[in-house]
Amino acid sequence: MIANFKQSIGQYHSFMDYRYQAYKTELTQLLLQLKNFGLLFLVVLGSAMLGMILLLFLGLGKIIDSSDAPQYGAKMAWLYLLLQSVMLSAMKSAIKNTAQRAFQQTLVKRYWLGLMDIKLLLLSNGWLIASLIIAIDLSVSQWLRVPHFLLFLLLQFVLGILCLYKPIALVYGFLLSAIWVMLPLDVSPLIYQCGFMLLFALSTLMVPFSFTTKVKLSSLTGFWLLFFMHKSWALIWRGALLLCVFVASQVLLQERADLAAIFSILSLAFVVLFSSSLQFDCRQLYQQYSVFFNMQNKQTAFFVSLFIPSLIVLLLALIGFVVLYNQANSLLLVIGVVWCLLQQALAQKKPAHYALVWIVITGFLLAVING
Amino acid sequence: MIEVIGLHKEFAENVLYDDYHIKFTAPKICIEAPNGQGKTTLLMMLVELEGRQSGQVLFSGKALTEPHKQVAIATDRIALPGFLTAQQIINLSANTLGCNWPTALIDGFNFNDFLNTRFDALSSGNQKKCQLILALMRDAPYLLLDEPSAALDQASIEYLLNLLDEYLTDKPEGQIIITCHEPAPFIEHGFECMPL
Repeated sequence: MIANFKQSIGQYHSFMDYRYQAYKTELTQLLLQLKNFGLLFLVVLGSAMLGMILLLFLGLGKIIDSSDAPQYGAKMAWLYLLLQSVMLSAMKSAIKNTAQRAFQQTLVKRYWLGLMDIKLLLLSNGWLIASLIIAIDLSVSQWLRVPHFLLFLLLQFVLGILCLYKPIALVYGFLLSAIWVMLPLDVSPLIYQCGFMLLFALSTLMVPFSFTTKVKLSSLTGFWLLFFMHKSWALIWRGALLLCVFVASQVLLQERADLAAIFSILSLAFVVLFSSSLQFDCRQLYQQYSVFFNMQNKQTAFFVSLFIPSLIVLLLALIGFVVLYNQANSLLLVIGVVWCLLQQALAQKKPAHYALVWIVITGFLLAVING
Repeated sequence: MIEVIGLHKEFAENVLYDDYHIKFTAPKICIEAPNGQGKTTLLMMLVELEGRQSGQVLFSGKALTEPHKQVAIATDRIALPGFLTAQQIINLSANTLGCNWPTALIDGFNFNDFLNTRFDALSSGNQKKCQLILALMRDAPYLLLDEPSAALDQASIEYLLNLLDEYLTDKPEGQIIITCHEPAPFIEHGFECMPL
């Protein structure tokens, strides 16, 4: 019996080593993809890392200490959970080793796969780790004052699991809970967190939908529609990050209304960044299918259509921008469109210069505003 | 005997199997069907690597308790880790399944020279050999091989056929099921053809 147990432990260790190796390999690939955004961004993001970690804890503070403004705290919690889900969705295939899932099942018992998934999920969930660091630091009397934080921790963990095994429930859950935090209610933070819990639980019972089989492919529009249905991730993470930029801008505007001009330039810069960078995905698609469209004698129409998805995202983001700043500054909007077109052209023709140009223009616009 | 009872399987709106029943009684069976009829999907469902909407699969009258130990399968549908060498993959399988290093199989398939090559850099024939080695080394009572001769050189096909001749001698309840578009050599070695 002891020999069997030892053998099982040895087998589990072999499997665990494999999963860690697969995890590291896939994360490395993921980081390499960031090179599309240019090394310069990595330097900028790297130097901003400390600021981002501070913002992370600042946001957590607002969620914990939300008894004075429960709805604001609930909105912050919603955003926090959304960003966590976006990040975990990006890492999901590395966490599960999705590509070799069937191979794993031929090697070990099913529950070993689940065990390793959870281990790697906890290792990857920086958002939950940050919450746990704060949770450990709280005294008993503080815990009693913020019982909703315990539910928030549980939500963070449960949403991580949903992200791995039932991602469609996240879509329903975030839509329903967005409505929940928008309702003009006067309830405690605990009720808000209970509401989240209930709505995400209900979401797991909803039936998945598929639009892809209903779209008829008879034109380039249909082609793009189907492409983005299959690659919806490219739109989801951009949408989530744009939302994050807008919420952060809103919070900062409340604190420092005198810096509105600077915030508007920075928001515009991110709007341009997130919309024009979609061109990298389109460029990849162009490289993949240009020969196919040449054979159909539709190469020009296909090339022109490559620029449209980014412009649609830009248009939607600009609507958000106008609503946020409650002004339609036509000069700023024209700058945004021209800037986006320029970035798109760079992404298509000179991707190595994409990041540099974005940073230079952002710096230039900020200098003009301050000058 | 493997028995499929009331199987229902569909992808999106395409129904592949609807209330499907079949019994595989012969010890060595070759499933024949045109492309796209669901041969590989059926094999994957037998070993529970592919889900199904409803239905039951029985092996000698019982459902599988530990599929990874009771059934071995070789198919292109199971993506092997391309970032590992063939040796690392075989080693991982041997360690997690508690098998011995399959020296005879590696020699028999002339695979020694490719052990240190990453799986994604192997030719399609050598990838097939690696899949076959991984399935055969388990010595499981039920063996499912999807297009086992595809991309293999003649010497390896001969070696495989000889292996399959002997495979069931110590497995009285065992079975080998293959899918194949060129079944002639397998029929010569005692396989019984069965349509889907």
